[in-house]
Amino acid sequence: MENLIALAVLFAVALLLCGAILAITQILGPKNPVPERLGTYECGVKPEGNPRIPFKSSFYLIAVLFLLFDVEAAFFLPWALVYRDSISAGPELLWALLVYLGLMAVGLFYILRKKILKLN
Amino acid sequence: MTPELVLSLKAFLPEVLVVGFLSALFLLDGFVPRLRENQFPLWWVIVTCVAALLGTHAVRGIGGEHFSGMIATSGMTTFFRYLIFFACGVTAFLSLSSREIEKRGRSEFSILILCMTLGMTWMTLSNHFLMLYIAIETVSIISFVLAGFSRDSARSNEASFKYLVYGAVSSGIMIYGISLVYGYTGALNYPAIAQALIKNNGTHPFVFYLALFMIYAGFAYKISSFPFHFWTPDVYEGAPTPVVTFFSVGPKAAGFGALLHFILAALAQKQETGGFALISGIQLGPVLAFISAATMIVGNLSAVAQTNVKRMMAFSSIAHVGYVLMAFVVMTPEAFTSIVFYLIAYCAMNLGAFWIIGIVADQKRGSDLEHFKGFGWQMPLVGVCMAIFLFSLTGIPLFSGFIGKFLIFGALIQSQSYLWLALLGVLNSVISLYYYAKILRAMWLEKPEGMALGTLHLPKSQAFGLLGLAVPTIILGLFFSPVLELARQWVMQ
Repeated sequence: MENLIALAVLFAVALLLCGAILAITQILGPKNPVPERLGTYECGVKPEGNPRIPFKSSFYLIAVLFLLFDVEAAFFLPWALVYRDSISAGPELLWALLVYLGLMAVGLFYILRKKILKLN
Repeated sequence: MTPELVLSLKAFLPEVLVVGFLSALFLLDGFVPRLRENQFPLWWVIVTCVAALLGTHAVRGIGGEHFSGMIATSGMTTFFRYLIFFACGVTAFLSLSSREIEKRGRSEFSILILCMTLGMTWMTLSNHFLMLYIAIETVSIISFVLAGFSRDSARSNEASFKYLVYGAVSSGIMIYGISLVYGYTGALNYPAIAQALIKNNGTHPFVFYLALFMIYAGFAYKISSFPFHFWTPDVYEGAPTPVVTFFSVGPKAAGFGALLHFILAALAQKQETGGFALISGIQLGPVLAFISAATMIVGNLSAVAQTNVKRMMAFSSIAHVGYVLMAFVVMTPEAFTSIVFYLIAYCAMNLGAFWIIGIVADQKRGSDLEHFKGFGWQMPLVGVCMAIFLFSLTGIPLFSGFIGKFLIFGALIQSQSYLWLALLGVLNSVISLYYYAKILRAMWLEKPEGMALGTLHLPKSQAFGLLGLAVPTIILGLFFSPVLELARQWVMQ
């Protein structure tokens, strides 16, 4: 229970501190609104055009494929921890991983052949 | 290899075969582009389904839990495997000549329906909540893509988006319910949940009942029962017709299989008489009776007002879900046998009816009642088969739909409870005759001027396929004893 009270106090202090910093900046800071300063920042270049353009779905594909293969890599890690001790009991664990790897490799070959990751 | 692992892999043989064929299809599609042209992927799907059916037949006797309690096979799962692989094969066959699946998307379509078939068998096999959730998500996500397969059609995109939103919300509710059940029982494996429930001896906290309803939300979304059926008309109307054919049979059968498996393994105990009794403190009867009645009424009454045949058939499929849910109310072996028989009959009827809707959509570029006018005269075989399928769906004697409904109502009446539900089912069947007959009236009795008999040509393969579904519908209505006996065996194992 004490831990929860301490957590609540931490939460309140964090809120108060951030709120205080923002409020004091607003109150004490210089006010000089100039069009160049109020506009969107784009690395010093004058912004032009509509910021809302159609979203390229190839970005989404890259993200999802990264997720899938990253999860596969994450599965390798606990496997590696257990594998060394299991060699004495036979090659089953190796075959299990190779089957998983093979299924992901089928997907990988499909991706490579279909040039899905090309961003032209 | 431990003996358990060997047995598990053996029991999993049909799915292993499908995975093997699916990987081969991926590689063939990627490395041999020439094969995309002549319908090779769809024929590959048909070959895979035949191989999977043979595999299911080879391992039909293996029962029990496998893969450390993740899946469990039994006679019922064998039946659902047969049904799902058959539905996939028929869908691939009818997609061969469908104009709604664009030619350059045929191989992706084949891969997707094979993956979905795999997900559906996992749904019926799953003995663990995580396996169930993964399987449901597999089927759902692939369904979202398939519903939007006609990329140029705004209707298709809308259908896919609506399906996605409903699916995401329902899956979210379901996983929350699963987490609550885990918190209460401490287990995710169905038999372990049953053990934990028995220990609590009759009184369960309100949270548990709430969690059960939340889990039902996920199942209800898949089988489109009230109150999670609202996506069905829009998705069925917008998606390409071969996809809708698959949707109306596959996920529904898989959802029923998963629901049955969940109730029997986690919420009930096998009695010596062969039936199942719900664990004390869990009263599913009144709730399921209300849901079944509401589903039937919503489905039938909404279908009466429709003018688009695909939307009408969507509501009709909702109504049929209501009929099947009636048998869940009483947990007798007769009820389960009736569910099995009804699903066999429903699969054949619905595949046939949607196949014909697809033929009309290809010829007439639309699926309103207007496009059906006089079609029976233009393609007589199609008109006759549609009459067979629609009368069977209504439940008119001489057809298998009647035997299915008779068995379900009989199971209710035999158990001497919920007679009002059986009466409601009969009334709803009468209402359904109106809208099924509307389609037949448009096909046969509203012939436009100057339309001659038999002017449109139906390819022989399609004719044989349709007859292959229509003739068993009639035969099952007359000689149903062998199949009924088979169904009893499946339920007993």
